Amino acid sequence: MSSPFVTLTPDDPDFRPYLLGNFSDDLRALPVDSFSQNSSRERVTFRLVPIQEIKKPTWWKIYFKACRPELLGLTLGPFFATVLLLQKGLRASIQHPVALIAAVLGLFFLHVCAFLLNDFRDHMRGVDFANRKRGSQVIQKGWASAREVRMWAFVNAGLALACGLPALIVTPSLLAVVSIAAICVLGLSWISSRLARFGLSDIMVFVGLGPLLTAAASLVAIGKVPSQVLLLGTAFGASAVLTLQIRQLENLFRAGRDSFRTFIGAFDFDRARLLVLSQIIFVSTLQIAMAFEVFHRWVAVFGFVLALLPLYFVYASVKNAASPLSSDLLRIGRRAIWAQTALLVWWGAALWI
Amino acid sequence: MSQAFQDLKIFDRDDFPKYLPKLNALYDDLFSAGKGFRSKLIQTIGKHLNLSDRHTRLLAQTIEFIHNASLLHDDLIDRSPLRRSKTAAWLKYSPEYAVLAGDYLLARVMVNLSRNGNLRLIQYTAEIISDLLEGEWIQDSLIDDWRVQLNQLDQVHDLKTASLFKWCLKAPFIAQENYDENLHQTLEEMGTLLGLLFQRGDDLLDFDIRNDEGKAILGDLKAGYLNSFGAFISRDFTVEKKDQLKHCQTLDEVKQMVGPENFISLVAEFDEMNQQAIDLYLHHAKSLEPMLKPSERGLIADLIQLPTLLYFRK
Repeated sequence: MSSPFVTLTPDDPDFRPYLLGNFSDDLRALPVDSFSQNSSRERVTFRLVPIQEIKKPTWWKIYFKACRPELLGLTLGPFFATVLLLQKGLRASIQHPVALIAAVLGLFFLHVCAFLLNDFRDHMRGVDFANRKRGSQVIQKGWASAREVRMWAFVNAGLALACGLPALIVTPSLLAVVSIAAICVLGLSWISSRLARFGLSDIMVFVGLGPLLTAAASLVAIGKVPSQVLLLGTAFGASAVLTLQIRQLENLFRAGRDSFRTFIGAFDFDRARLLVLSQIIFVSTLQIAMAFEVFHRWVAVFGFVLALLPLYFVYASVKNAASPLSSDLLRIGRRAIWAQTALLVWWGAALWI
Repeated sequence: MSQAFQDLKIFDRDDFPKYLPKLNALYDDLFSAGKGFRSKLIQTIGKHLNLSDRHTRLLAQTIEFIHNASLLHDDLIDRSPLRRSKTAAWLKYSPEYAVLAGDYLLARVMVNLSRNGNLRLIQYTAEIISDLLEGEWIQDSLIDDWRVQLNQLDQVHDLKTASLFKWCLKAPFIAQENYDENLHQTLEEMGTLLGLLFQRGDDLLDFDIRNDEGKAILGDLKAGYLNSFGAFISRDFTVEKKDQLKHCQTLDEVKQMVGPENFISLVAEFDEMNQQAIDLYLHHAKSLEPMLKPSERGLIADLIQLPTLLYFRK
């Protein structure tokens, strides 16, 4: 091979096959540079690597990484918490256990499908290779071609549909909730950058991973939506938005310079930091209020303070960060997810008891 | 780089007010010892583009003024006692004079460029100065940050170091009113890679690797700044080990900590990683050919030499 690099434009017939990864059986084209992204003057430079030279894990490990297990708490967590609230807190009986289990599986496959499609789309838009902290990076590392990732996404979408069908049959009203959720998911991808920076994407995340998700779980489980379920969804939705915003802080430097589609990216560092700090206080207060509303016992609320400790450490790191490149913000997104998981575990444990 | 251009006079006392003798003395000291690499790069590119002497001098002077202004400010921020083996301006004169002298150079840049009248060049130069200052600002927040990683430093260096290389590559074309977008994007990326390689090569000098210039050893580390090679060798260190590294006073102590043989293999690994950046740079340099006029294509051969020169200091 004379040069391991090749630069192509969208006019080039090889451009799309290179991006998709189906241009050769022996080589993989890893994008390393991109100019004028998503314009008619776009040019992408690929590094050609023999597939045999790529050290890749077994397929299930790649699938595991691509399905973003660390974010499963955001999708499955509120669902499980709702079922626990209904069963243990409100003493309601589950009407269709099989449909409920199938719906959980469907939600899992939907989660995987959404993140795989996100990886695929960001790769095609040249986002994930410009910022190595984004996405699962399975395409950028050459572990899977973009075409394979898209195929996995479709398979997972099919599985999600198959698993979700029983719930839709026994609870037709669920279709309305799923439709709004679909609008939120599609909207996240397609709304304009301006609207995204005005916070519409955050509202969609709040609705989709909060009240909508808990309402769907409640509909599948008992066929109706008690007000406590919506309150629980509000707490989880606010917490999900906070988690995503803290994750965005890690990319704030790039967001500021490259005009990323984020709400936080619309602010300068000090204001973004202030916003996140205020939200941590707001979400903590909201969670405590929700806990009191659901349990009506201060004992449970005091126990809840322990679950907020990881969030406090996130608060301290964000507060101490001197600049958007400060090491205090390293892995802050992961720590935010741990904080979210701690809250989920607490909700689960408290509802179970 | 061609030797024929080395005599171009960047600093001339006549360019500055005679009623400010101290300012002139400060500039005499500052400009007398520099290598003037960036201005030579401008001259090399200017030669291939057939740029007029007036334009070449303007651009060479501009880049050296910006670079030296940043050094004046940088030395004061870092409290560095020496610059080019001489007492730093802020110590020899005063911190106030060092700041004013740096500001004055930046103001002169704008005066000189605006006389020339190319608005795109003025705008681009102002953007580069902004980037440089942003880089300085953010770098200061990384002092005593011992968890800093290579990718964080790369982003700072892109602003602080690479911005001037990008300017050197692009400004002669802007002066010639060649605004071809593909050309400028490629030059921008090449400038980014050159800045990265120059900075990483410079950071290796701190660990006495290819240090033919005789630069002070462990200067960055002792000043509380983990540079790119420091971040690279300590990427898997525990908190305790990083604390040990922080307190190393000699290179032998660093080598003992890492393991002398491991130190050598880490340098080789670092070189290999940077070789990939060099390869990418060379790919971009070769891709310039269709974007240049036939008479300008000799430039590619000169540009191809730069990454080895800047990283391996050959």
